[in-house]
Amino acid sequence: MRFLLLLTAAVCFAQPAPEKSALTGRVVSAATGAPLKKATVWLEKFSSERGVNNAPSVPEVITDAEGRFHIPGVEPGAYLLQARRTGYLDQGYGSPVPDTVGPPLELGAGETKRDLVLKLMPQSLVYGKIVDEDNDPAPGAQVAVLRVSYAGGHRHLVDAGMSESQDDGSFVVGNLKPGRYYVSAFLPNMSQPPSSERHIKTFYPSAADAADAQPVEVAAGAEVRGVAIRLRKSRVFRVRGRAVIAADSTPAAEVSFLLQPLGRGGKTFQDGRFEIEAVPPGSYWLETAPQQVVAARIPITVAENDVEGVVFPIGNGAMVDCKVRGADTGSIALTPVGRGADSRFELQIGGARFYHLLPVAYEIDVNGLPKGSYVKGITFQGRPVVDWTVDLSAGSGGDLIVEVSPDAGEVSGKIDQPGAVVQIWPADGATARSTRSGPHGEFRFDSLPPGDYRVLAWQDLDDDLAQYAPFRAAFSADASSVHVGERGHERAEPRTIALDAIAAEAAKLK
Amino acid sequence: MRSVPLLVAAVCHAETALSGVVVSASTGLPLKNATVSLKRFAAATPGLELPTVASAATDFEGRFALAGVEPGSYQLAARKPGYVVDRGGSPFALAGGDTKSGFVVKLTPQSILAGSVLDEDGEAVPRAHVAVRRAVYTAAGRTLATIEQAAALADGSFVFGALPPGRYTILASPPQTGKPPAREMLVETEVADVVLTPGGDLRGLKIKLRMARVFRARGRVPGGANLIVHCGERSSATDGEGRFEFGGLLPGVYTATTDPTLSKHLQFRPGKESRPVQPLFGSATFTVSNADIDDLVIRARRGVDLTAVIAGGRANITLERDDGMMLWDAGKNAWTGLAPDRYLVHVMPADRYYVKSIEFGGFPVESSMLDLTAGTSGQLRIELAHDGGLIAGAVPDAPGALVQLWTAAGGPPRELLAGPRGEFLFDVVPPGDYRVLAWEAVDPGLTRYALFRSRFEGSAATVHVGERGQERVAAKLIAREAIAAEIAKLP
Repeated sequence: MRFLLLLTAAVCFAQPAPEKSALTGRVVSAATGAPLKKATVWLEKFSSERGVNNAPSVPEVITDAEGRFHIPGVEPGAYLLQARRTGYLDQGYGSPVPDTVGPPLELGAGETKRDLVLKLMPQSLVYGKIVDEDNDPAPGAQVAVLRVSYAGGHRHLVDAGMSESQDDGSFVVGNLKPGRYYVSAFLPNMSQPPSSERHIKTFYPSAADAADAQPVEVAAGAEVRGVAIRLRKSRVFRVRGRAVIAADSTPAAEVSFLLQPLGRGGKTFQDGRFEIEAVPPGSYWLETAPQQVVAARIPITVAENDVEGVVFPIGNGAMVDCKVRGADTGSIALTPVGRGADSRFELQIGGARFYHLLPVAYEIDVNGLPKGSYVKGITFQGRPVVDWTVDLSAGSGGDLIVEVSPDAGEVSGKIDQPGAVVQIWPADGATARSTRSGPHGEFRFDSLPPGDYRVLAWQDLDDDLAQYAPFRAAFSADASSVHVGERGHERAEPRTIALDAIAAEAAKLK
Repeated sequence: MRSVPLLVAAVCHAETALSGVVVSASTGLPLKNATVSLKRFAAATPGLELPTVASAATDFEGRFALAGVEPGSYQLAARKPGYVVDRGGSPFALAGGDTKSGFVVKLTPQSILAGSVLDEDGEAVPRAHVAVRRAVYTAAGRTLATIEQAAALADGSFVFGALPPGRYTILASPPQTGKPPAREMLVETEVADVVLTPGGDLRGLKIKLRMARVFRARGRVPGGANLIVHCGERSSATDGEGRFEFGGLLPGVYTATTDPTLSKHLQFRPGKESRPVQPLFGSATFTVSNADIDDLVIRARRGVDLTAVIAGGRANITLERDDGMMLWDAGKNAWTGLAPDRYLVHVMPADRYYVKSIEFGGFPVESSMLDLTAGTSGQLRIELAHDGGLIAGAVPDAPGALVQLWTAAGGPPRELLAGPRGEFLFDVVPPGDYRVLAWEAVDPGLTRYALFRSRFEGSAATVHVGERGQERVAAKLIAREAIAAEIAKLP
């Protein structure tokens, strides 16, 4: 027996380290097919998480004069191969569209993959000019090229590129994919003359409202010129008042405040006075800025006059005490509904108390629970919380109780494509989880609450569209149904929706 | 009897008001939507941005009006997109109840300088760094200074407006990548003698960066862990063994110098070990010809320690290093580990005191320039006094003129701007002999250039100030035209 054990050890020891793998190939222009020198090619270890971890696992290489690259000495495994170059869009190997990673490549021990061709699409550029009502140049304007996004489950515009108008009013925004864009320009208050009329954020060609903006169609590699935005003017007014401590009406000094969604504010003076200049007509919320030991919020309407004598009562805000039952690791976060990550508060489970919360609705998210656990239910002030949203608009806080169960199920399976996006969502819910299929098309979702689910795969899917339930609904007939019981292990082999079908349906959204 | 209280009331309630028009300097036409700022004039701060007390936008006819201003001395400044910023005209005085009209502010249309940065293949270089430089004068003579800079846009293009007419040098350098330099890389390119004429645009300037073989220099500071080593504009931190490396070096002569001042701060880096770093100074000069250098050695020793004693009063002391870095010791009057370099000693005494003398190691420090290049530690002795005198005077008809007080011994002058009636006053003046020069409109740096200043010695008023003496001088204005004529003759 002893001898045998020794032998095993010896065999293990003698086993050589796995042989290194390598890749060679070329980078060419997708427009002309011509080889591209000076392109950067890099490998990233494959992960089923959708995001990209920006640390290349292998040093980057640069293509030579014939566009060739050679990456030696790679540990065997699954990788995403990518390339970038000045004047072109980033490209993943095997991806039909730019700016996505493409399916993973599996490298066997000692294997050299040859003749890999990465086709880079030339960048598109938008050129234009920002002018005032007299067609005089407006330098220093913040110019944004925008595209439609469905992130967060609703249609809105997000930045695809930014620039600042130059001293002659001109601007250029590059690194754009082909597509439909909107362009907006905004002249910061400090670079405007002190007048009762100010230039306001204006969409191409001269619209104050995004709904009236004219789209700019951008073809692959195109230089779109002549996008001239004529800035609109609006009468502006002053908002003045006093911040007081709600409890005793004494002045609330040095409180930072913001007028939302204008995003401008300041700090109250020693006597509590505050003033906001140049506010266009509209409905606003005057709020205390985050990260203070106070919280308050009042509505402000600006119509046709300066707003004077506003009394802004400042209180402590609401306190929410989170008690998690059934788990002792993980974190819980609260984000005001409709706000970005900069307004998000996150605390570790175990004594998670949120102080100084504004009287608004907050979205709850729970992360990092032990494997196989799920959130079974949430109550606030003893009443069940639906849709992960707790409404504090009444101003009072209370106990938020999160019930965690260790009896989660899982769904695994296989599709016909590596590197595709697989989604699972509750049959009666809006929020989907996404993963990327592995080199053999395999995928797995764990920590699923028991219930009925739909599973569907996409050849590739914009991060934004992935969370838009109305888009998914159009493909509900294609989704596989699966029931997950407590601690259940289910299998699914869903269909994969091809890129052209996705594009056709996305076009209908507009 | 009744008239007196009425008059008082009138003075108190009369609004101070001023009005005028903003026009184009080239066409004379009125300019609407210009921003006019009223700035509080301060004599003692030439070149400093003055606080704006009121501002207004011009109307359709270029007119502006400002009202309700406290009495005082003011300057008017104006700006409008497409025009060179006017930082302020001559100062004027406003008394209570004054109504001044008829101000005319002329704005010069901007000249546009536009172009693009390309690589050796003629492809655009986005984010390339572009600097606009022009000749300026300092005590050392003519030198190039960067007056505007920007990053090239997505298509490698750049646009500079608001440049006054003149001769420029454009310097383009490749974007910082943060990656270790390769064997061959794009290096900066300079385009000299770019001439901008008044109101004329210059577009389509192409600056091609060149590809050059570059080299690496590796070296060691024995016993010098965690130091900062400078080499021109590059810097590198030494590792635990005192090793450092500079990449991307073109052939040429370089000097690598440890920086004891900065090295000292390293020990406070959060998250890093907080072992105190011994401030060491040393340097090595090396030549890169056509190969990497791997065996550079910098022999470093402790920097210079300096203490200061102040006699006759209290003062704050700051040392200004050659590269402009200001070293303040938080009032302890003791510096350790200074590089053996030359330092300008700034002494800021309490109100009404002046610096009578500065000595280091028993020898006088001339013109506040402390020379520590010998590497010897020692004591700085500063003597203060409060028997200073006063020089008052006026430059006839020259409000806003730059008035300078030069000592016979040399060193930088004291300077201020003449007030609304051309008046000036230098207070707490150490006893001695002085010359007073008044300039209509001049770059103060140019007046530091001895060769230039010497042409105007005939215009200087000389004055002797005794202890607590009070002197008056009539300064003669050196006119704009005379200054321009002498600039044209400079090398």
